[in-house]
Amino acid sequence: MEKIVTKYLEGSANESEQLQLLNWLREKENRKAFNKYKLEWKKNMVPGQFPGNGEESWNRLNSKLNQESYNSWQRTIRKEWFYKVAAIFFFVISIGSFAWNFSHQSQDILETTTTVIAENGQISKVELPDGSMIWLNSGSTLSYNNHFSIENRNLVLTGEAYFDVSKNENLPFVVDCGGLKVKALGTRFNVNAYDIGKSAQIVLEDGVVELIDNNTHNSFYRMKPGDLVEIRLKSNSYKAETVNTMRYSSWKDGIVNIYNLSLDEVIKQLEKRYNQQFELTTNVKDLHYTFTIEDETLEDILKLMERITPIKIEQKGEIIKIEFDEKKLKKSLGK
Amino acid sequence: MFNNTFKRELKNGNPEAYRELFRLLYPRLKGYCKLFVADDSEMEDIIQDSFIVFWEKRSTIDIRQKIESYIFVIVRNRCLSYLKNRKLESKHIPYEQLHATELQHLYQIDLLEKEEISLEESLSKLLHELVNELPPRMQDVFIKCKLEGKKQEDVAKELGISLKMVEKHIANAKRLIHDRLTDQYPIMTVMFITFYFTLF
Repeated sequence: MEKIVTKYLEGSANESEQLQLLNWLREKENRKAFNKYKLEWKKNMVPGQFPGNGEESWNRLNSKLNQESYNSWQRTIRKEWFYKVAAIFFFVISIGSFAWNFSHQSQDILETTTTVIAENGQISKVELPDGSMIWLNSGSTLSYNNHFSIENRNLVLTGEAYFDVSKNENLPFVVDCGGLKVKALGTRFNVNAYDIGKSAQIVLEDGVVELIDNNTHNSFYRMKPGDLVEIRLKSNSYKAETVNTMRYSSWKDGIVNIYNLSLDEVIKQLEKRYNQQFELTTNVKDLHYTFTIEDETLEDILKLMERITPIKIEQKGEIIKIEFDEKKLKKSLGK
Repeated sequence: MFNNTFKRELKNGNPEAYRELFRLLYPRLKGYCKLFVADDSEMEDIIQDSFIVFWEKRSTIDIRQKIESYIFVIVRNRCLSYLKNRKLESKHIPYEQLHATELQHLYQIDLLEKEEISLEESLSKLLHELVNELPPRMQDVFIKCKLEGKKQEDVAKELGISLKMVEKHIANAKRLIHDRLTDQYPIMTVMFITFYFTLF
C-alpha cells in the first residue's frame, strides 16, 4: 500500500489504484499509517524537485503573482528555503501611514515603506529600484519608502550592509544608521551599524562618501577609498585609519575573516554566520584566533579550533559550551 | 504535513512557503480536478486561481487548521461551479462519471479529513442501483429513453421493436423501480421521486 500512496501523492496512481487506496482509507485504523507514509514521502523528497510536472505550472503562477496587482509578492532570488547555507531571503512589508486633513478630504499621501530583512545565519542580496545592489548581513534590516529613486535615495539600516551604489548625481544616496548618516554618490562601501545608536564602522572601497552628524546635520568627515572610520556616537568621536577593505566586505561572499580576534569576538562572528548560541567560561575568552571561513560547516570550524588550542567544545541542548581542556592544557605545558 | 512555523510563513505571505505548498499539493489537486474537468488548461486555471485566492485571503488563515483543507475547499468549489455550468438539465450523473465521483472521496479523506457525500450523489447511486436491477431489455429501453434522452420512436427503430413495446417497457420499469423503492427505501421514496420527477 505504501507504493500506491506514493503514486497517489505524486499524481501517478491510476483509477483502480486510487479506488484501492480509497477503500483502504475507509477503514479508519489505516489512516494513521497513511499519515506516516505522507510524512515519509515529504521527508524523502529531492529538494526543489516538483513531483507530477508541477514546476511549469508553478512558474506560470509565480509570474501571475508578480504582476502589478499583487504588489506585495516579490520573487525571491535564491530558491532554497529550508537550507541555511547563505540562503537569500526577500521579505516585504508594507506599512501605510496617512496624512490627516481636517476637512476630511483625505489627501491620502499614502507612504509605504519597504523593509528587507536578513534573518540570523543568512545573507540577503537586494537590488534597489535605482539599480544599486545591497548585501545585508545576518540579523540586519534595511528600509526605504516608495519615493526611493524618484525623489530621494534615503535608507535606514540596522546591522551590517555592503552597498554598491549606482551613480545618480541628482539624488544623493543616504544611509541613516542611527545618529549618523552616510552619504554617497556612486560608490562601494560597507556599513557596520549593529550597535545602532551607539557606534558604527564604515569602510569605503571605491568612490566618495560623506559622513553627516544626524543632530547637527553637518558633514564631519569626507572618506576616501581605503578609509575605515570608527564612530562612537555617545562620545561624539571618530577615528579614521587605512585598511585592506576586502577584509571588511568579504562577508557578502560568505567569507568570514578572523584576524587575531579573541574567542569572545570569534563567537560573535560564528553566532551571526551559523545562527548558533555559545557559552564561554571566563578563562577561555582571551584565547586568540586567526583563520578564514568560506563554506565550512560549523563542525569543521569547531574541530579546527579544538586542534589549535587546548579547549573542549560540547553541545548542551541548543547551546554550545566552550571551556579549557585540562588534559590538553597539561600536555601543551609539557607536564 | 505542515508545521506551525510553515503555516505562519504562509500567513505572512512568504513566496518560498507558497512555492513549497504548491510543490507538495499540485499532483493531488490535479488528480482531483481530473475527476471533474476534462480540459487540461481549465484544470491549470482552476488550480492557479485557487492559489491566488488563497494568497489573497492569507490573513484569515487559522494556524490550528490544516492548510490543505483551505486550498482543497477553494479548488473543490471551482470544480463544482465548472460542472454546474456544463451539466445538462438532467440531475442524473452518467455512469462514467459516477466512478469518478466516488474517487473524490479519496481526496476528501486525504485533504479534508472527512468524506462529504452529497444528497445528489446518494440519490444518484440509488438510481443506478435500481436501474441495474431491471431485466435487460427493460433496462436498455429505460436508460435510452429516460436517461440518455433519446426519442421513443428512434429507440423503437434502433431496437427493431414497435413503439407500443417501448412504451410498455418504460411503464414497467417505472413500476418496478417504484416498488423496489417503497420496499427497500421507504423514507427515501418521496425525496427520490421529487428529485427525479422528470423520469417519473
